[in-house]
Amino acid sequence: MKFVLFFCFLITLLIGKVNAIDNSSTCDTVSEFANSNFSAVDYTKICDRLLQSDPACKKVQVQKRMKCGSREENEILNSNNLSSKTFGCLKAFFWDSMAELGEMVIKLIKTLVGLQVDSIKSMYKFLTDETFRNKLIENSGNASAKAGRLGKAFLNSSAQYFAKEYPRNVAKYPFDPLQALGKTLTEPLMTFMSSTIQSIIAEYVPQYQCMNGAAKLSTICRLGGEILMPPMILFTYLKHGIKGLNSISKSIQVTKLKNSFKVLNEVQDAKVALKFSKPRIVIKTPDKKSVKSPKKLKAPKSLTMEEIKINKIAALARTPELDIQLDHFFETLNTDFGKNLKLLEDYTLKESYETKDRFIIGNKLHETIQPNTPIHDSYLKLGYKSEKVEVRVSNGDLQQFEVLRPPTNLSQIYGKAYRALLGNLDKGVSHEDLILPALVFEKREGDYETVFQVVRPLLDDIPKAENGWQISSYNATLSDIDFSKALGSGRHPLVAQMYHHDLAHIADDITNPEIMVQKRRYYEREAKLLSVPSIHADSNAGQYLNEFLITLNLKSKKDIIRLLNPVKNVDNATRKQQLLHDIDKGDFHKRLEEISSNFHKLFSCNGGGCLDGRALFVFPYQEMNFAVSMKIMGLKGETINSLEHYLANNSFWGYVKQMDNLSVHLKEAVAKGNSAEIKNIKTALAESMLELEQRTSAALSNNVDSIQIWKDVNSDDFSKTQSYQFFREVSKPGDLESAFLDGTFRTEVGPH
Amino acid sequence: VRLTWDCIHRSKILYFYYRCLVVIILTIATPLAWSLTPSTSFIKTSKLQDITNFRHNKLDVDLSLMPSEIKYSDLNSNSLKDIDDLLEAKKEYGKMFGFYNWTLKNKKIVEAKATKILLLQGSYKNAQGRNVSFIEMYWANQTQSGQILITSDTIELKPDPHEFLVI
Repeated sequence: MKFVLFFCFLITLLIGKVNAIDNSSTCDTVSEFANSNFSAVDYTKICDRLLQSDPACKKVQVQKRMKCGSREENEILNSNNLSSKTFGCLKAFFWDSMAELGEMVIKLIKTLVGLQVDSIKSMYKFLTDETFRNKLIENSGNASAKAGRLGKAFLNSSAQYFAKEYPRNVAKYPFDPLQALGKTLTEPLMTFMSSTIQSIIAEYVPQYQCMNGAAKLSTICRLGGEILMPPMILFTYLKHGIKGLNSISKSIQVTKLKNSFKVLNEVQDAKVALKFSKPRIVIKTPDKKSVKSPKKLKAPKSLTMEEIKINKIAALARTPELDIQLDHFFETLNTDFGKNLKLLEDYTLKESYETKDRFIIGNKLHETIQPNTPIHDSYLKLGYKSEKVEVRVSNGDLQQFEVLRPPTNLSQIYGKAYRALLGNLDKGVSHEDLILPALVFEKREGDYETVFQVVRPLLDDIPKAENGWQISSYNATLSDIDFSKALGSGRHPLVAQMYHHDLAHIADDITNPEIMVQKRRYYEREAKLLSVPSIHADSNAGQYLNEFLITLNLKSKKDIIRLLNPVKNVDNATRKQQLLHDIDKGDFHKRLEEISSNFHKLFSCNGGGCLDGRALFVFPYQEMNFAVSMKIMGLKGETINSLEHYLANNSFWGYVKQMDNLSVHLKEAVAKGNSAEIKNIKTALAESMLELEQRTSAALSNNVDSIQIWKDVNSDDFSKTQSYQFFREVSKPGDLESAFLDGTFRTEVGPH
Repeated sequence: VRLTWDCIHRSKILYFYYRCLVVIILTIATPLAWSLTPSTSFIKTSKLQDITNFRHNKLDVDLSLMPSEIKYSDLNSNSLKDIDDLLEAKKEYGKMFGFYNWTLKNKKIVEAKATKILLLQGSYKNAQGRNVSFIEMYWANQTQSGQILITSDTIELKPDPHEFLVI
């Protein structure tokens, strides 16, 4: 209160004409200020004061705050941008969601009918005239009662006509879905959507008012989807006005909206992982004084600058000039970082299946990447060459396989990836949703700390070798949070160790830009979540996302949960004994087979391999099986520890694979009559199952957003859950419905 | 007359729709002398919100079903006057979605087996420029109610109210 009074006093002192401007003794909020009629000079002065003193404004990134030079710069509705750019982003959004658009318009009709019935003479007026709309909303109760149910039903039948004609129109205008709405509706609907989204954001996020016009526009485009799809917030606003939003202010959608706003626009949360640090693996226990706190994050680059830079490269990508510039970039790198870059290039050669080990990978690739699948094409787009090789398999036979030989020229790889990914800008993908491959640089700081920079060639500054920077070859040094920050800022780390694996991710993004968009948004949230230690401790978000994006076979998933969550209120020791007892009786193996079978269905696996073209699953499972084998043999050491760590952080499916493997070993041990080994394996089996049960139980009882899927799958009406809505976003319209009918739906790809 | 339509077994409401459908088909069938055989059926084509669209597998006829909140008592002589008043508003809605030349040719309330049905017949021009003939039905009994829309852009639908009394 003191602050407010002081601020009023300050304004009074500094602006002589304050009384003329506002005779009331109350202070202007930013919102009131924006709506007032100050002269240009007064506007600038008061604007400056507000920016300096209003805590809400201080939270907004500097480049996004109001510009006090002229009022126009802060007003989105008066700018020319609205009709072109906002429409553009909303159109792009609808483009991917035609079915949802149809549903939304039907809801809109019904809502409007429910509100004004006999008084509406023009839906156009309702959509474009805010005063008219507010009046109708205010009087809706009376109007509705007056007109009666038949009148409502009669007007509601407009929705029937729309529902019948819309699919036909979409079929007629497949490249212009808005045309399918009807020419007359398009413009008022878009105007209505833009202004409504703006009102809603302003209601929930006071900082929005402090932003300049360009930043507001960008925010509307970015957050519009969270308001429109699913349109709960929009329709609550439409039916009950801004006051009605209070009833849903604590909902997940609103929380999500607010969080997204923070991540996008606020100073603290919008820091981009251009440069970050993590404690190095501790070799000796340091004393407290010698432990350095992580370095502060580098200030984010201007969004506008980012857009300009990306646009520039996108323009280059349409010409051969991109290849020339990339060649030059890597030549420069060769000069400065020759040794490390050589390692990266050597690795591309090593990955070309010229060794026995790589043939095995080729075999796996053959199993997982089927020719003529979209992901197969994406690999080819990245410069992979398809070749046939003969491999002598374990029974001594020679078998022919198709292998994909990776490209060996880094410049070409980046060129191809850039062209394919930047091409998404023309398809309506926002600059803020792109993920591009990036090199990782690292520098040792002190004894225990390594700092990193993730650099997109031609887009980001290259750190200098003379300052101690070198190219990273191993991804293992990147923690989950570092990785999330990099992905969240649109940079996919591409290092020698994970070269093939990471290219598989980039191939994913090329194959399905929707996944790329969702992935980036996910990692933005994840980076934020992981930054908060208390949440981090409870979050296994990555592993759940893994399961989540892989596929959706609802029945299998439900069966898995049922099978993995059978016991309540039993302590660990008792449960372990029960499991050992089950192993002896044979019940355990029956259950394991059932779980395994459902996981296979979940991943659409068939016979020896999974058919969904997911190369990224090959490598982790090989490593896990290796780790399990070594564990059985009693080996210990650093390798085992790191692999165990990997194992512990991997998906539920990994556990099942591990137990499948153990079962095979158990049979072998029984055949040999090796009682000590039998005992070890049985214990390992029981412990694995116990841990898996515990994880399942934890997932089901956890409140963390990102594992909502596990709770949602248990819901009686899955179609009303967040996960369903999320899945609608990443799947094509129509697929989902059939998924519920036959349980066979799956996405083509899944991240990480 | 027998129709094969699997969906009708799913709920009482759908069963009632089915009965209405029979009514409608008979209504349409008489003037056009259609011959319905067991092989003819409506195929579900899409579902947006609670509106389910069907298309006849042989005839160029579309049918949409939608639940309604109207009551038996809402269908009375005053209803027809209300429809006239509301028609202008409905035309506005139509224009928004590219439907023009909205014309209401007949309106009538009929009663059959404790069910009242408001029957409207007319035509409009759709976004593709084709004339579409429509029949709208609003029905209600003491426990249930619903809306049915039948359209065709190749034939003119002409209901014969007498048929309702037969059913």
